[in-house]
Amino acid sequence: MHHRVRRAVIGTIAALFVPALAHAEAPGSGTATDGAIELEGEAAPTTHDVVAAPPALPHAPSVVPPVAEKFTWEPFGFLRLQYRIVLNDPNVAFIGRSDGFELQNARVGVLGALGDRVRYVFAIEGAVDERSHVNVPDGRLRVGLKDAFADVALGGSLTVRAGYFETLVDPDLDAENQRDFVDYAIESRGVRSTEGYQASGLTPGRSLGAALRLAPIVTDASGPKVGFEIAVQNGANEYASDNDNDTPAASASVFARLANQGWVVASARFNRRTVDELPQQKDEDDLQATLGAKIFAGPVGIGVGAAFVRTMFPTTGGPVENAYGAHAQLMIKTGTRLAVGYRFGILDPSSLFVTDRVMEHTAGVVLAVPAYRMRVHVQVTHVAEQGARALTNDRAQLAAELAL
Amino acid sequence: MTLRAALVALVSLALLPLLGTCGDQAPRARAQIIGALDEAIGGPHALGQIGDFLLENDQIRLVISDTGVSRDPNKPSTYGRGNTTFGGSLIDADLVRVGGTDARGNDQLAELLPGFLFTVINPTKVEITRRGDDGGPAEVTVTGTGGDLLQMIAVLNTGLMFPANLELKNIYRLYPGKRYVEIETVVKNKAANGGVHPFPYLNVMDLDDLLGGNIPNLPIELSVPMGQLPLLGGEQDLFAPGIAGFNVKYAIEDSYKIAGGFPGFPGLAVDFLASRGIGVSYGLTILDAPSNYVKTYAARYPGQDVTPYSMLLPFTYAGVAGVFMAKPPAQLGPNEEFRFTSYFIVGRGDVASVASVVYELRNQDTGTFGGKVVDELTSAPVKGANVFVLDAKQYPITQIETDASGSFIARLPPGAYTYVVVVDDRATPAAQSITIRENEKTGVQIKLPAPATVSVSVIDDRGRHAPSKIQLVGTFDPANVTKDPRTHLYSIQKGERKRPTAFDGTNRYVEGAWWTKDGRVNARVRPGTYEVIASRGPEYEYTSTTVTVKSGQFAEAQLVLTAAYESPGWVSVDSHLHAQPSTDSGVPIDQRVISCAAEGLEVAVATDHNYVTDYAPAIAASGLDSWLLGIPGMELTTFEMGHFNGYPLKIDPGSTRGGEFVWANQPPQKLFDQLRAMSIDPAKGIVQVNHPQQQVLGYFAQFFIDPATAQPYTPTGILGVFAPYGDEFQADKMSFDFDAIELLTGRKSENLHNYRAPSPLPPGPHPNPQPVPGQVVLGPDGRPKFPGIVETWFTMLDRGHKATGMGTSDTHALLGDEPGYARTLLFVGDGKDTLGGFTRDDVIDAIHDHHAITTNAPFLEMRVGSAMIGDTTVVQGGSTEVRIRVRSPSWAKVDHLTLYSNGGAVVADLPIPAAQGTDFETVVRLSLARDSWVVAEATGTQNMFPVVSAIEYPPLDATVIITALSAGLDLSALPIASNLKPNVVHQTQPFAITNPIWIDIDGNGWNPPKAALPRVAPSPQPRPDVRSQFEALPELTP
Repeated sequence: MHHRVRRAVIGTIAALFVPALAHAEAPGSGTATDGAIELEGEAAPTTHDVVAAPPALPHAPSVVPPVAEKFTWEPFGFLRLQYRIVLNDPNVAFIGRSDGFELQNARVGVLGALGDRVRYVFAIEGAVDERSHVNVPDGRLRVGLKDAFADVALGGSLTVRAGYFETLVDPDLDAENQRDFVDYAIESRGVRSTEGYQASGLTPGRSLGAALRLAPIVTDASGPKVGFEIAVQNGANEYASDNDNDTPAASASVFARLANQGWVVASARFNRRTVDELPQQKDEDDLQATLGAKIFAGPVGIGVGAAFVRTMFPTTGGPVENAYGAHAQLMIKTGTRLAVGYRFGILDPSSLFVTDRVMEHTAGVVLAVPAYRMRVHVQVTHVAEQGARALTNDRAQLAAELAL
Repeated sequence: MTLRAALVALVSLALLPLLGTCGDQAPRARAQIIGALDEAIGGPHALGQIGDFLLENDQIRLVISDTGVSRDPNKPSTYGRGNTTFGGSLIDADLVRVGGTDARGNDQLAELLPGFLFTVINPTKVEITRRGDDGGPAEVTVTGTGGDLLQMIAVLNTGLMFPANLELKNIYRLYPGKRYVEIETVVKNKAANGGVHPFPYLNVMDLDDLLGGNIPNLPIELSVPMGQLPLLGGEQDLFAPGIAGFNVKYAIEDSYKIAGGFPGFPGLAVDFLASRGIGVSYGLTILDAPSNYVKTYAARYPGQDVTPYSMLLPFTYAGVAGVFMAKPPAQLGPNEEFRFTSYFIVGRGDVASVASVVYELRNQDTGTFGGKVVDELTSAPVKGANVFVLDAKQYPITQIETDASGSFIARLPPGAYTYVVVVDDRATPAAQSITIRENEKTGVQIKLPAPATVSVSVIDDRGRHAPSKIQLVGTFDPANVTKDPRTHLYSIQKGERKRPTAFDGTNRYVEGAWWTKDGRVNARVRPGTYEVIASRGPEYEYTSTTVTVKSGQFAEAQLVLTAAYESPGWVSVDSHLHAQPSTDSGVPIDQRVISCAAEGLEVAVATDHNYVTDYAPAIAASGLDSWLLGIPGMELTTFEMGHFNGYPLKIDPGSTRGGEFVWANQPPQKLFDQLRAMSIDPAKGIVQVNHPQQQVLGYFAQFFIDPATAQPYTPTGILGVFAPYGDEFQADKMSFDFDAIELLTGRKSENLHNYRAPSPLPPGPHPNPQPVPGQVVLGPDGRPKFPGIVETWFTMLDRGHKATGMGTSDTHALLGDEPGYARTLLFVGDGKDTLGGFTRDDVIDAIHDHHAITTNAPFLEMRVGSAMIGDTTVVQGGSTEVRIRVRSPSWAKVDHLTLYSNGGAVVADLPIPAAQGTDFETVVRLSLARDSWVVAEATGTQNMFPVVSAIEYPPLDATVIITALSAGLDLSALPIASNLKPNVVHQTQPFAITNPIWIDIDGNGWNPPKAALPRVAPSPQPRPDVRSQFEALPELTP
């Protein structure tokens, strides 16, 4: 294929996939196509804009060009490395005693098309952090599947997606290599081991399934457009090869793409999880709701998000457990390469505990280095637990991101 | 087009979930003969093999062994492949495993067999009677005659049952979809004379005749309890709802004190029986039936809760429980049958999963109690927590274990309860109330206090992170020092682990112990202030420091071990170790080898019960090759002839036991021959006699070896009545063809020497003849009533039999039953006791050459000139010096030394100055008139706690069974029944004894001072066969 044509095709595919690929990931992981978008800067404008890294949702060419070949592919990838310092808590052994480098992402993948109606993405992550137990400081890096799905165009912007993918049930849709801070918002990522008492995020990870998606393409001239996603997935733990029961997870999302690169998303999801091994499994039902938005006004970008999970225990009859988390952030662009920002995050993992709420205040700086396809983050976070669980665990982070 | 496609896609998505509901089919059950090992059940105690019978449904899998008779048509013999003598038993049971950690099977059942008192089925036929292919149950039926499980109580057994007239049948019936197997047991009168068969068969006066007129208070009424004998594996903790909980053994013993007397046998009445294990549990229950034994004799169980489902537990022993359920009719007419039904349940690892099946069987209304247990501080789920539901008396009625997500669920009958959560590394919160309603769910979230964390790092004197033992020693309220620790320190009833106390009037106890391969541990413990103790066997002092840890917090400690003494050329050996392959041990092999290395052992001989185990793979996997040498072996375990270790043995990979052998009904010589045949080098294989004087399980005890002659004698009176009757027990079958003998087994120092009466005597009544304070307590026949192993060994030495004296631990567990206490020090050669410097052959040669010291800590050296322990030396004229040196760590100081020669003490109890308790040397000058042997013995009175804990409770003993079943009879002539007997509850104190140096005073070879011991000793008269005494009874005449 001629190089220019191929770049154009890849760019188009990337833009088409953006709605699926750019939204939130499991804590500490990333999405696939952002790297490709950067590579194909002409097709994915302003991805180098560190102030308001455009949500990959809204902007894409309005016309899908014809695909000349039956099969196309393009590699992509990115690396994210951070150096993290967490204050040592004097009483809790597993907090703060693992300062050092952490590989957040080592992503490689391919994306492409089969004919003019089928698009695909396959990506693997080499920095999956595997922990044998909760609250242990010694995790292990391993390679894990990140995306493996195909979209079949039904007509217009309507597609059916099938494979291993993540739904839009997340209030923080920034792509991995476009987010404003080193980490995702606390309601999405939870609390990591070694940074505090470990807590899960309130958003689902990836799963096997299928989805019907309407992802209208927005240009600066087209004005806001509304899309949706209806998905059925296994709902088992991320990386699970099979469902954990006979009941799939079902989710529905509605989003609006704003002409000024902003977005609004609202989602709901029901998932019956089954815990423990056969033959002593027990069902737990999660009802999730998320709401997120990001808007831009000149050099200022404002993001908010909230997630709520209600867990019921139909097998054991245990009391209903509610969890919520939210964040609000402000980023101000100072020049073309530098931005500074502040984020407030709150997470209450369980209504059955009155002492488990965690709040974070984060101040950060982001510097873009386009010549080296890099971004650099520096940030400090003050963490405030409730009295009974108070920890000394404020942290400072220096992160670098390189697009391959 | 777009809309249509969208609709199609939407509908398709909506239909996807429906597909998941398709395909469910009715469950099934089936029976088959195992044709390949792949069809059998795996797991730590799996015994099923080709030719056995498999019963399975969609829930559980079971294996029933075949007849237990060898298939060799020329030599049909019972070979006792399972734990008991005969076949036809339920030997494996597990859940159906579809995956996960135990996918290959997790059988932890040793055996389940019907018991008619102590008659069991000697099967003539095992067959599939229903295959289950019709959608109904599958069945395996075992048919046979009566056999004695224990010959020792044949007189009771035969007198009450007289099984010769009976056909016995056991039908294992498995229904589809059920987690239990229905066991229908049939007793049929097949008397050849066509007469009726009464139960009990003999009237009590006839029985009294057989017992030599020893039954007091006649006439009394006797009964014949029938039921099941479950042998649950060592991993399984027995549970009975009510006062017992997990404290079944002691609750049974407590029940003896309130027994109402015959005809009800004494014991504990339980509503059902269950167990707790890792990943699988078991249970036993019955339904309401008119023949219920306990209900029939309810008045004989005052103070106990008798329900329509009550079963009687008269004993538990090493995982064996007697569970009696049914009382047969007063008599059976010709060809008349008596049937009773019991239900064996397979649970998911906790009691609650068993209890839910019990309630289902009884059609009992239930609701559920469930929820989640989480850490109060971190919110993390607490896996493996024990949720106990308590009744109004605060007795546990069930135990529910939480899964990896902290979740738990159980079915309970409607009612008001309290619950409490017990975890060994967390403080126990107060009990809470719940109410269970029919068909309703009651759910809770339970927050447990966070544990504390202690991180300890230990290096040895060379700076190495060497294997070592790390303990936390705490203190309890001094006000409780006189109380039983079970009442304030831990609750066995609620399944807490035992915490050994110092047992010396202080309030010190061991909160936890960890045997590490590299001196590092990061452990969760209950918050508190602890002394951290690091040790590494007797060659090291222990070091300590104090830490205080609070909930959710951690503390660190670094300790350095220092050497107590050097023992160049000598290695530490424990030649009697049990791990998970043994039915009665739940210690995984990797933990066993690490524990051996951490206790400073250099050689570990695997000696599991009737299972050839090789530690080498586990040693290699643990990285301990440089520290520990493993020798494969086995403890050949008979039911009542004794236990014998063989090593080093070959591993037969084609055998489910690591090797094939026959133990049932074999004379000793055949047992020894088999062990040698299984040896890697039959010419050098070691046969070791274990705990020889232990009642029931000891070779010498069962053969009635006279310590004065080292020869069997014929027991008379009541002793004869309770002696095994088999031909293999006749005195002329006694064999001395063994290489080694345990002198000190574990911490049982009371068995070392003939028992002497304390001074002053304790309150009577005393046995006849009247004991003399300070003198050996004698039996009616004038022999020591509790013969010491050492005295018997001395007699053997006097008579020229050179069996090497050994020290072993016989450990089955860890804390409180540590490996290496006692142990044997073996001389493997100068300069060879370095890491990897000696071989297995060096070890075996040292045993054959008697270069051995039995010890639990002191290093006791002895020399005659240049001759060392085990040597024979020539001392012309007989005048010589014996140089003795004893060294010991400061936690095991010695204070007395004795030198024996030719059966007597030539230096008795020489005091060792306190300042020299860790290093004392002396020279004894001897003028010998004849060839002699000399043996040195060092003792101390120091409490070896915390390195070695005390024996705080009487150890499990088979004699408990006999005691229980003979309650009401006057068996005071039996050693076990005496008022005056060795104290089996005591601290562990230092002890060491050498093997001999043989001194030849004339250079013509060493000649024993007494007549040489014949290899086989003819008995002065045959041992009485109690069975023959029945023939004279008029009741047996047609």
